[in-house]
Amino acid sequence: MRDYEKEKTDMNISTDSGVKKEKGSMTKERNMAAVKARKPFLFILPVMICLTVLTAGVVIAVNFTKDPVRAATEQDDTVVTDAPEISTSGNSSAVKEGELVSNNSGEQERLNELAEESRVYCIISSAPYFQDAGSMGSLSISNPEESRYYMQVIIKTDDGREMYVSPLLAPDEKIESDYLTNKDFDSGEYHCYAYFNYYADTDSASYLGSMCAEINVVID
Amino acid sequence: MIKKKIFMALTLMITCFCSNPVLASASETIVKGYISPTIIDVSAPATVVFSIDPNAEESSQFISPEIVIENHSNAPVKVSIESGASNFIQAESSSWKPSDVLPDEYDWEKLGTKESESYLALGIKAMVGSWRKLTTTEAIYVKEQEVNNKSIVFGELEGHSSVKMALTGNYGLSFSESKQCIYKIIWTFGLAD
Repeated sequence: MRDYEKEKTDMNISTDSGVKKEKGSMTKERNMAAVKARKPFLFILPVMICLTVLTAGVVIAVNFTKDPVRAATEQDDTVVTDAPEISTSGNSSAVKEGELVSNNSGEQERLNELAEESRVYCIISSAPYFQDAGSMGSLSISNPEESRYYMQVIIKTDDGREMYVSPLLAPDEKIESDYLTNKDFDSGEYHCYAYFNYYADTDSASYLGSMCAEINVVID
Repeated sequence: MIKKKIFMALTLMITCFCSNPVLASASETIVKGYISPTIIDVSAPATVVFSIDPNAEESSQFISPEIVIENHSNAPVKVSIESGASNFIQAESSSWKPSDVLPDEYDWEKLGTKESESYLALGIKAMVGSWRKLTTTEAIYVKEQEVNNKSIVFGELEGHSSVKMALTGNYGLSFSESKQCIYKIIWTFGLAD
């Protein structure tokens, strides 16, 4: 027989009039006892839940922050770590602070200077006149003093016939008048191009470049 | 008395006759003028070097000098490049010999090494400045000059003045080594029309 039934029986033995009252008290006491018995359990449960959640969180955090390589290494005993030794033979004086920068700041000035150093001159009469093909005519060719290079002038007609070839002129030299190199020209006015060829020195291999003047040669 | 009168009359007649301008010997003054032809006096750089740095910012990748053309004459002078490939051409002595192309033939930023080192579009143009008359600011390219059958007149400059020309280029950005190339330009100068 269960205790509370035994207790009930015991209660019933005492008096009939107090039985109902006793029954109500008994139930109340029983419930209170049950609650009291559950109290510790109710307290412990949320604590256990919290602990479980906390533990799970710690485990997850640890796993996400773990070095995967190291983790894989630790997990897989067959991976070989063969880290190269740091060599000390490098030239430490070559090390500079900062990032690589493509530095063109002085390039423009440098190229401008190179261009100016190579300045050449084109000076000639726009209309050289010859009394006849065999006479001396005015050419007014000049290689001025400020020029750094040698110069030779070749005059050709529109159709490419060579009319005159000058000697090589050094800086500060000129040809005021000269004879036509090719005298096989009739009287007339010829539209020509005077090519100025420039050289660093008297060697053809030192050719620098050319300029051209558009002129009219008159043979009377 | 009568002889005296006749002598005086004759003298008077001769005097009148000689003083008559219509009957004097004709004379004229010949005026001859000698005008010397203008001397063309111009200077320009014989050598122009440009550089390409594919690692720089876009605005600094292609660097070329200012090509300053100076007119030392008193008269205005025109600047042009005559027709014919030889007047704007890659030099035989160039160590790097890219194929000369037009700027719109390639999408330059997308070229790999092989194409970057194979093609180049090089041009020259007039810069806006103190021109007496600026005919064109459009660039003339080496490739165009190959088939150009007429002279390209850039403009005219006043006497005792200077103007500037500039190189322009289109190129790839992938180069496995440094390159150097040489081009020739033959400027033609003449009296302005």
